[in-house]
Amino acid sequence: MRGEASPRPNPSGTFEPSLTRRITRFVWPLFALLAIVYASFGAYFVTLVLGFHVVVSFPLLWWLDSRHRSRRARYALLMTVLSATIAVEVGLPAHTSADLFFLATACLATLLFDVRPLRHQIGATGLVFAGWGFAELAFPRFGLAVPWVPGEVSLRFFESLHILLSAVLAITSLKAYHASLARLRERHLTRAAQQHALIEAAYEKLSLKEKDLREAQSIAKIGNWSYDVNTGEIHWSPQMFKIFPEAPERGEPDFDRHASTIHPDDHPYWRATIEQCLIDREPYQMRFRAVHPDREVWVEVRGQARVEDGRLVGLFGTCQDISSLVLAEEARREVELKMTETFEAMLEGVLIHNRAGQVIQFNRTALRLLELGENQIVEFFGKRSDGAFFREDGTPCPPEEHPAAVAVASGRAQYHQVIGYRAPAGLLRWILVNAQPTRFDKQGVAQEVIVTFVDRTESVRHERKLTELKSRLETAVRAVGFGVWDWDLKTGRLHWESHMFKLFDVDEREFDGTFAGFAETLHPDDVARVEAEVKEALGRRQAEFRTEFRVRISNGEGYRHVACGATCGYDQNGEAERMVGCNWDISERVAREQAIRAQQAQLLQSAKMASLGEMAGGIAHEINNPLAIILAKAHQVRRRLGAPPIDAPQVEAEIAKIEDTAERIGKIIRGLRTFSRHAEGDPMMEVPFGDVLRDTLELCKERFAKSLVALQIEGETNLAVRCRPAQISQVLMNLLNNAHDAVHELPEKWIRVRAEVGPGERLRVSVTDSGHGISPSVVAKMMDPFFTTKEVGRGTGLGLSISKSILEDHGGSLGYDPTSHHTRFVLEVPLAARGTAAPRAA
Amino acid sequence: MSTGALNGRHILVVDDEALLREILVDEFEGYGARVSAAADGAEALELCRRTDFDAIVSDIRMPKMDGLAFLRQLRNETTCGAKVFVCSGFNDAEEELSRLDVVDVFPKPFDIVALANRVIDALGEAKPRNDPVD
Repeated sequence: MRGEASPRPNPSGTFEPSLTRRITRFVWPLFALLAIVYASFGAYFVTLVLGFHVVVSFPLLWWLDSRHRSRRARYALLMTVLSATIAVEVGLPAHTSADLFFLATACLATLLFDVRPLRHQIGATGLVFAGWGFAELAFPRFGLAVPWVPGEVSLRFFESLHILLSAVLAITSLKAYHASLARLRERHLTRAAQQHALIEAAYEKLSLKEKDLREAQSIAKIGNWSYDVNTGEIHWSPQMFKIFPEAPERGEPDFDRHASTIHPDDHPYWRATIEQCLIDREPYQMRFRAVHPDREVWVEVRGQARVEDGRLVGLFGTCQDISSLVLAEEARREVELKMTETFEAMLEGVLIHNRAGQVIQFNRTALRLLELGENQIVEFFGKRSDGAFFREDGTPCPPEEHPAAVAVASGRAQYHQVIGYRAPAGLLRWILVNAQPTRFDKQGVAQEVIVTFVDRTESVRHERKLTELKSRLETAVRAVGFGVWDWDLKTGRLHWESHMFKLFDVDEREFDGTFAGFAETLHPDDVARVEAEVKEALGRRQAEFRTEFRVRISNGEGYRHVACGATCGYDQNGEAERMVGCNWDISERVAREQAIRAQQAQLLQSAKMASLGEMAGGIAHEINNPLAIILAKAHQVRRRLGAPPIDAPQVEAEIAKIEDTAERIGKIIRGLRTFSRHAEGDPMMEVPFGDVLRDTLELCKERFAKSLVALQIEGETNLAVRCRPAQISQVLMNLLNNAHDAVHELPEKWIRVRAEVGPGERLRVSVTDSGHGISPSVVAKMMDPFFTTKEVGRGTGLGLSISKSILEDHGGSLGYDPTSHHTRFVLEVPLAARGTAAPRAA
Repeated sequence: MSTGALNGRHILVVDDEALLREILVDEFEGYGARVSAAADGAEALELCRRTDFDAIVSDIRMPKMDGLAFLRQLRNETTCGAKVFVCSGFNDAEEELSRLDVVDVFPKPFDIVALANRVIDALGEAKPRNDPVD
């Protein structure tokens, strides 16, 4: 009984059943024993009473405790039991007041089971029992007679027993009570401590939560507030003090002070919203600006009315700083506006439509290009587009071939599709369409397509023309045999069109696509030159480039002459970027040129020969005379030697004459040799002009002497010039002959050759004859080849043109001087560098 | 030939080449002829007008008046009976020379001995003339 488990707490707060049970469990066996004892003594009435308690009251009590915790029920039951017992007692004849008293105390004791506190209850029970005992002692008549025990003694014994029992009961109960009380206190304390701890924990949690809330509010810039309508008090969370320009230490503002922080423009709206809520008690949401000293803060307030018992007691809600939100919204609106503007302003027409073909979005340009109105365009692609679209070749384009349809069906973007479109107004245009499928669903099927398009009618026409031109060009290029190439100077990649390979006799597979690969095909002697030319042209940023070179063919056994024409492109830094050009075979031309040159050389020679032929007679005479003299003189010498006395000095003189005459012949021969050389290949020599002139004169002075044409040589004829003597001799011969032919039948006949230093380091030689000039019409043509004023057979007409080209080849010139009264030709020959060439001994 | 083969003969030598004139003069004088010399056709013509020559040895290519012109003039103007020998370094106009009654043509370079013999032979048939100058 002592130390039993702590009782269960009883929700109704009544006495714990187990304690009841414990006490009555102790009392019950006692009553049962007493009942047996009294029964043995024949005190059947007492046995009955005790037995009744044992059998009925206590079990009933226990049952009551276990089932009905209510006090009232228990009382009711006990009253019933007591009443029954009393009734029984009273009904019995042999009753005593002591029994009655006993009964009463028993009932009382039972009642006292519920006295609070417990100790009172049990103590009282004991006292009652003790009182009863003493009363028995004090008043013997109330005693009980027991058969085998002497009257009074037995009475006192049982009374003492009753007192003892009472005392024991009282004490035991008291102890039990104390123990249970202690246990109870302990339990209460523990529970209290637990509850305290729980409360503490809850409180801790609460303050943490409160802190979290404050922090969250601070982060989110949300505060919460409440307003008591009756007192006008405003309560604010700490964040509110940040949102509104109020100092936290001053506490919450009153209504008017708060109102003063609202932006004046928003004030009416703010006030009206609040008042509206006060009237209709509906939750509200509003935005306004709070004015801080240094800035404005956009604020969003959500408020609600608090109603208690149908009366509006206040408003409460949240308040958030939405400045950044407002700014973001403004920015977003601006972006949206800009995007819409851009969308509308685009030069491309933009249509967005769904799988079914309905147009969901379009811009102005689209309307304009399609010549449709806003109300027409939405349904356009569904039904009305049949017959409106055409393929590139002009045949009608079925709707499913339209790039938009293809894009949506295939899920792949369509680029640069050209579609013909005939608007309701009728003209066919070409539009360039891009279609991009978009909004793919979970199965990867596009639900929408974005179509952008531009009018490309002009450009399509141009393109068609271009293609035509291109194919014509290609045909032409192929016909002519041009090889076209493209050299990217940044990457070094050289691209050759097909004909290049034929031209360069290179296998397409073997060509490595670089400049080096090209250089390999050239004649070794041309490689360095071509490379240098390219470098120079690019270095000078020339726009065009031309060159010629030889290309190895037939594995190096032959060469082909190839010309090159190219254009060069440069980037914005001036770096060479690209060269595009074409090469073509000029072998024929080169061969022709070579043939022409050979022919010219031959002609030159022929002209020389013709010249010579003209002079042959004179030359023959010039040689023959000296020969005759030599022979004759030799004969004379022989004669003198045969007819002594020999006049040695005379003979000596005659032999000397022979030698001189032979020398004369020598000069003529020299002149002839000089003149008749093939002199084109001669190197330039530095000779005194006078030597060349004299050699020439040897050949023709006989003619002049015979015709009595006076020849005057004047000026600085001994200056050295840089020339091919044979060629200059030919020129002089040509001029002198022309001059002779012009004057030999004139009354006044002379030819003057005058040499002087001319500009540009050249020797200026004028050949003037006594003629009276040449008519302008002849002057205009006289340098032309094959033009002659002489009769047939007398002149080839090549003299002047060849002479001119000879002098030009020397870096000099030949010209006619129209300013002179007489016929005057001027030739200029570059002077030799200073300090060279002594004149030859005459 | 004997040195006097051309005695009493009057010969005219015409050539623009001085040395040649000298040689011819010397040669014919060596044969005893009296020799006059002219440097060109005009001079020669002048001399022919004044003198009767037995033989004329002339060059063709000469300045002022060449041999052909001289001979043409000679035949036209005078009744000169001189025998004409032409020696020239120039080989054309043979046809005309024959029409001009040229006895012989000696192309240059000529063999002077042959020329002298030919003259001697040609003049050997003629009678010597009285030359008032002689």
